[in-house]
Amino acid sequence: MSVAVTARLVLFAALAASGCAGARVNVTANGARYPLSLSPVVRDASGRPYDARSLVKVGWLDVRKTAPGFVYAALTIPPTRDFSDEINAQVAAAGGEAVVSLTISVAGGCGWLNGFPILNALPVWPGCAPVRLTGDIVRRRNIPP
Amino acid sequence: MANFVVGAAALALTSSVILGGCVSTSMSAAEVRVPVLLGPVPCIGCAAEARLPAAAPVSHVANGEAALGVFLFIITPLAIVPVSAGASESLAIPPDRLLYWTGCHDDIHLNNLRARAWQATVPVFYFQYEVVVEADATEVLVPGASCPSP
Repeated sequence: MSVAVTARLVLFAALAASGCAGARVNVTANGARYPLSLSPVVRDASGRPYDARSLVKVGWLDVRKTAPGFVYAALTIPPTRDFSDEINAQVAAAGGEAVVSLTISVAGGCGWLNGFPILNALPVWPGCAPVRLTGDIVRRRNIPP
Repeated sequence: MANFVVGAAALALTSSVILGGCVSTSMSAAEVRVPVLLGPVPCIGCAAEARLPAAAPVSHVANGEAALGVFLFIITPLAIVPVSAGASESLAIPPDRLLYWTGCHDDIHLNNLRARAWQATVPVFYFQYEVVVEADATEVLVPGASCPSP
């Protein structure tokens, strides 16, 4: 077999096996019972802002959920992931009043799955998006629990 | 030739997996001086409630990273050596930059928060990875709000 024919075969095989995978997910906390702020600031009911000087950290929030996706990331089941229950449980366990410095991350933990050559050409091959919420569980200084 | 194909396939797999596994992104608002809220509770001790949106329009905020690479084949006197070359870039305007100048009497509420991770590969030739966290940000009026002390 000539080099040109081999090269064409390799190219054809590569294109035939090309694919993609992943997932897209809506992230909600609609049932959260505490204020969740991505900034270091949160207010009380009077509108007074509290920041690192007037808050004390009582715990660390860390919730992870992975959403699987199919059909080249077009279909995620379920399409929405709600983090409320885990947030409520962790804040209550720490005796906190709010979460500040909340960070929403998507890590590359699914890279091996999303990028698996050849198999990710199949629409049924699952991809995924690992979502992680972290933050500081805080309460106001000088406010007894 | 068979060794070359196997080597190239192994390189394609390991490179795409390793680079894809390294790409991540996160959204926070560490530099913003007003609350940037997710969820229905606007303040400590408050019940879930909806506040009136301010006059400011909805902004789109996002953090994202993309990485892409190609596989190259260096022809040497002894063999054809597969190697890979890639690059990553930041995709979007993060909340810290877009929302930094929000007035201290308003809060920011995030809606429609989405996250996605996606990877495409053309075995032996090309791979691309993208991770994005994005949301719509709305300024909301806070009755009686005060500014942080300097």
